[in-house]
Amino acid sequence: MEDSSGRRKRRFWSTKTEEIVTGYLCLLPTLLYAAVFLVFPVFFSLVLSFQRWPMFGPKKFVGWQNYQRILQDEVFWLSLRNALHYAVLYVPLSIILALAVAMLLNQPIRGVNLYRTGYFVPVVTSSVAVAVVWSFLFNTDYGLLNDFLTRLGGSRVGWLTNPDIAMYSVVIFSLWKGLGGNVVLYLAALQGVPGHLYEAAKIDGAGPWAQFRYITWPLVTPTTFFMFIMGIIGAIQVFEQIYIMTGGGPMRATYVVFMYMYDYAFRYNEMGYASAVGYLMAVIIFALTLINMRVSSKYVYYEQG
Amino acid sequence: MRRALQISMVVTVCLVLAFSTVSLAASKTLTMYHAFTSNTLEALKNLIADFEQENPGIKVKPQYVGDALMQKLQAAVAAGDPPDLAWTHGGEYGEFAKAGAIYKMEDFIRRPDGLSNEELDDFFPVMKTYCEYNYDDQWWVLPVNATTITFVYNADMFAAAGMDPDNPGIETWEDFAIAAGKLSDPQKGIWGFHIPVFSGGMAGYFDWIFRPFIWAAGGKYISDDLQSVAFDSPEAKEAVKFFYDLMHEYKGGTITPADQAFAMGKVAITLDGPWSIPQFEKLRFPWRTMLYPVGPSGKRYHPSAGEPVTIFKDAKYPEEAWLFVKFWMRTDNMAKWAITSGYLPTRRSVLEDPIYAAHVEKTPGLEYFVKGLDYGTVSEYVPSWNKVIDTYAAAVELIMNNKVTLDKGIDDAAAKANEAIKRYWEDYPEEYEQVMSRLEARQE
Repeated sequence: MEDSSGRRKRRFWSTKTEEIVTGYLCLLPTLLYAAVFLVFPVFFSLVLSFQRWPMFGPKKFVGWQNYQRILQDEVFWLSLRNALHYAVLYVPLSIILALAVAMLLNQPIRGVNLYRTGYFVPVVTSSVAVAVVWSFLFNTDYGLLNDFLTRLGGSRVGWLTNPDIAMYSVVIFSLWKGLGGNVVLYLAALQGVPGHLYEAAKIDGAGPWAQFRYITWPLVTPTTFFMFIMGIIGAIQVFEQIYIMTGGGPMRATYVVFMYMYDYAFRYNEMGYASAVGYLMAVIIFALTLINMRVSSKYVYYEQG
Repeated sequence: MRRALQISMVVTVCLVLAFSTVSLAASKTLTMYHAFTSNTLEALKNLIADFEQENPGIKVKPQYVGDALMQKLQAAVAAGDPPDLAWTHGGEYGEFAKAGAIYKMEDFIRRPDGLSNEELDDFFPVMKTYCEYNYDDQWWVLPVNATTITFVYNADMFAAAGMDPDNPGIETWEDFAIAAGKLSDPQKGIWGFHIPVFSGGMAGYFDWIFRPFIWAAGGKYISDDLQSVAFDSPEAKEAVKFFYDLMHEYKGGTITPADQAFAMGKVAITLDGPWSIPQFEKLRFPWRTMLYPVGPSGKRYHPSAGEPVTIFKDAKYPEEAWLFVKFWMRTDNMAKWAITSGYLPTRRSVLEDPIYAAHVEKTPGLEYFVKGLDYGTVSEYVPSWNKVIDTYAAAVELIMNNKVTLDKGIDDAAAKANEAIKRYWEDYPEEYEQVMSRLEARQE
């Protein structure tokens, strides 16, 4: 079989192997990225959560000690309670508001794109910048909000300085900031509702409320479910706006669990402890999501098909 | 072809660089690392120009290294090629002192062409503490910049409350509390003083006010053996009691953080550093400064800080570097330096320098910033500082709001902070050894 001119080249790899290798080579950048920035930190922090690691000192294995300390720390429970308080206020309100606004924006009105853009602007602005602006608005003595209130004959409200009110102020800000994102999701869902259903309902004599109750609401439940899950996950992790607006105060009334984690990681340099907080939160979020999925099967409508 | 071109370009660049280094070396160029910006950079340029004029044949090449100052210095020292001089933040030079990488300034100072004892005594006493290493009572570096915090007040509000703005007569804690009460009008949201009870990122501001008051009461944050906090001592509690009374008895203060409250004329007294003078000059009302009041211990304290200049052992021209440092320390030069940079001078005699005196005359508030340096303090070394100050500030906030009694609030916080300190020492055994040996050195 040997031929001086056209000697049959022996391939190093078979064609199939070559394809596989090429494929993985193409995937390599993404895989590397995922490995370095996703997989590695997940496992590294899991290991860390069982260690005592002052950021500038040696690591030491301590078993469950970090978790025990966390569960015994009243500040942790306080911060967890604050985060749940925030979630319970924020998530339902954000869903109701987003659905209402999306239904308004789904009408054939003049300049609807302008409105849609308007609602989306807060989502794409830097949250640090707008949080600073809102803390001016909320200022007890010179803020715009209290200025209106006193002009209308009301008294000043300590929006960010009264421990009973500060969390509500943060929720108001977050609603304003996050509304646009949820509205976009609901708009997409609403536009997926077939028009003939409404026509048929109208013929059967259904009013606007009945149309909403029996057509719109059931058909957007998958979106609602999605937003509920993501909303809870996001709300428990709330950090930025609180860090800027209240710094966790007054009297730790807005000190949420991710601030607690941040303080331990970057101000007290207890990386192992902070990792354990992170894992504890992952477990709590996972449990909440599981409960959500169970409950959701009762109300989420999935089209057969 | 292309490759050849690339290579030749790289070679050319290398050659140019090599020769420029050689030619620079020929004219005795001192390199100085710094992180100065804006006004301070301007001051440095002027200083160097004056120096070069007076010392022909010596050039100073300032090299801005910004936030990476320490990393750059460490790398340069490790590579055996440090700059001749460097400015460092506060006590960062300690690391190089320990490694034997810098000259002890004392070596130059004590020579015939050094500094006289009168000149050394002319530095504000607290400045020497910034320049020692391990409390060894030696000048390792020399201080170029000083800063301090003092009280700033709204002269119009003082006049309206029936006090003489130029001589308000606030000497003691009690004077301060009474004055604050007179200045306040709670109905209108106007307060004599804003008591900063912040933890977290703002804890530094909290420290500016609480540390001098704790000290003036005869207390401290931390015990002498550094094993536990001392903010639960009766003396330190008196400082918290003072602010509690200021708020609840004299109705002279609020703890509500109010942005711009001083600038808006809603708070009569605030505290700040000399770097804010340009902002104060834009205020719509006349302002003055005063010293921190004298506490029950009969003393007053101000927060302060100093920044030094260092000469490196492997410097190419240590002798010329010393000439430059000495030039910098000269009263007339330091006066010009302080005026342009906005920092405070580190020597008392600068206040008598005609140029600086004229400057103080023009900048009324400046006087007490400089005078505050006479009562300047070095921050206490507190292990697990962030955790300790957060715990303390959180307790003070609860006390101020009547959520917990003073004794219980402080004692609980002390127990928690002590736990944090114990944990800190377990986590950092090396630092523990170092600090303990330093403590022994101090006691000897």
